Amino acid sequence: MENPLIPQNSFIPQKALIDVRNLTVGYGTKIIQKDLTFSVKEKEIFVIMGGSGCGKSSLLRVLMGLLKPLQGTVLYGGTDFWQDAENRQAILQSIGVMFQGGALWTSRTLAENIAIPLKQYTRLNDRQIYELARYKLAQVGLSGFEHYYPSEISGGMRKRAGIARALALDPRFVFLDEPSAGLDPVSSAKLDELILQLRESLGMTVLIVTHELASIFTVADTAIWLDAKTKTMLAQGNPGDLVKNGPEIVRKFLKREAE
Amino acid sequence: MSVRLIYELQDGMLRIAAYGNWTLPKITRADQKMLAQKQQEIIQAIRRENLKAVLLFYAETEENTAAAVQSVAAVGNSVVQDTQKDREYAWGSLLLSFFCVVCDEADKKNVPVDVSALLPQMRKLLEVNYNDPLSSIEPSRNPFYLFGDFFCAKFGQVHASMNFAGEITASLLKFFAGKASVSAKDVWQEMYNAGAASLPIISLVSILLGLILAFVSAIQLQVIGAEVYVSSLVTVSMVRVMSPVLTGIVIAGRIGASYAATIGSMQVNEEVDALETFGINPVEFLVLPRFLALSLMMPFLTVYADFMGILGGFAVIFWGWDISFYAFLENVQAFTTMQHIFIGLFHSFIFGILIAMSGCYQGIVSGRDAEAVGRATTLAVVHSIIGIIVSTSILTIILSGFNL
Repeated sequence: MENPLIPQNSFIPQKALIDVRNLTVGYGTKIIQKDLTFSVKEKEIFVIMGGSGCGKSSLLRVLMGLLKPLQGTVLYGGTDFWQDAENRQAILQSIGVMFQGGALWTSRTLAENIAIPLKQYTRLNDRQIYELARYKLAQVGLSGFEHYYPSEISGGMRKRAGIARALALDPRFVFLDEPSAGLDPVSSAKLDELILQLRESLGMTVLIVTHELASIFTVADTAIWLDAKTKTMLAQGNPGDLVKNGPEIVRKFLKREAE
Repeated sequence: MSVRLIYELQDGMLRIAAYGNWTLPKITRADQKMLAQKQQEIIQAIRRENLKAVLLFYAETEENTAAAVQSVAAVGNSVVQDTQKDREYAWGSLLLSFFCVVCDEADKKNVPVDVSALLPQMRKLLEVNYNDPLSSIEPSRNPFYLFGDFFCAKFGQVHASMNFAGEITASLLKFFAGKASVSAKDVWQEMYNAGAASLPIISLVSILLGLILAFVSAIQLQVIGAEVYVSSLVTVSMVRVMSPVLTGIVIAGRIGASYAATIGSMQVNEEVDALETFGINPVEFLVLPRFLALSLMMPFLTVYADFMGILGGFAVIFWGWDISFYAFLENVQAFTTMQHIFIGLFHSFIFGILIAMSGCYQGIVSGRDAEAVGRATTLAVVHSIIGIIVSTSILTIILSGFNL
């Protein structure tokens, strides 16, 4: 039996880019961020910065389809994500997400966590899926932990396993919510390297929410700053430029100075 | 073109060439079978033959791959040029994981793998280490150890539950000595949850139970013309045993389960650990308020259920058998003694303790994943119900021994 969930003519956004126009993010009547307009180019590493509580994760939730925007549009390769219900499933399949805490399925082993989407959306057999899962875990430095349960490994390892799971389907868009928080500097640097490699080799477009300055300067092509006070985007550009010419608050953030 | 894989063995050199589209959505069932079979053959070849080297190739088209294989065979190394600049990425993790399996297998036999003909970015992603699973402590073979291990596995639960009962007793003693830090707000909230919030379901269930009891017994007693005794039959059975047991079962499902789920989720989020690091005893902080609230509220709920059950019984014989309210009341008064009421209340008090203990205990010993919390909840309800039935039997035997 063929898996009915596998799309026969799978829709893949023609151009792997994200266009966000006049987006207002919020819950109910409460606005968290308004008038967000930016676009993420193909194969770009795009960093969302901002102080704690400014709505970075909420914006990410809108982009990954978990939170309906109050206003505005999100286009994936020209397709309106929130209007075009037909293609939404296909767009979702081309997105890999790592949640802040890893969000691994706790009753499954690490290998099974990666195998679940592969079983759902590919025609590979169990052994091939296991080998792929093993490879993905080895990529994030978790070789040997295939049969461990999420409760048996450390928080940083859970995070890395979450990244391995996000990469399971070789997605075109990867969303990482604070990937290096809680990792040691060496693992964090390795992770940056992995992100750069994946962009280079598999052409992934990567969106990262992070506070890690070293990581921002290493990987980001473009960074935006979401401001908690004005509730909108204050700056957009290469972090190297922003640290020189950006608004004061962004410069302070990037130089790690107190207000 | 979908995935293609060819290999040839010549002069101790195993050349493996992959081409075509290896992206995951493009893999068909036939591709998958072909891949699985060829992988098996390649691994067998690496294991059996005395290979000098394994060479890996990849290009998008067959011609490019063949050219690469030939050029390597003729002059040594040559990197396949990526001809299409704006190509779709035609190789994905599947190819990499396949190559990694081959490399891993070759590594075990100390056969060198030549990856120089692969694209540079591909080579980078092949640099992963496959470690062996972590070593674990060798279990002891000492018979004493084995016996102890077996004993703990079998009876560890008993030990843990005894420990828990002991801890509750200790914190209760502390509470009555006025030394336990139990927040009155918590107890009040739990009393509301267990008591007032349970009234609707208790009303429904006990009215219907009274109705059923009255109806069934009235039909039987009618035969001998004694339907006037329906009222006493319903009242005594409700007050003495039925409503405590029924209330207990309803509360086990409603409150016991919620205790296990709440404390179990707190266990998952390390909230219980956070309490312990502050030196706050989780039993005192989480279990005691629930324990006090439920053992206090159960008797009240039972009294309420008694009234509701009697009301249900009255409804049946009032409308069905035309017996007046006064006749009904007279009969109730004549047969229901304070003794019955106290026995019922005592039952319900015991059930409250049982439900609170098994719910909280399962929550405290719950594992740290979603499934474990589900299991804890199930066990809490199952153990409460078993406890209710078994303790009812024991109490009935004891009380009949005293002619009560």
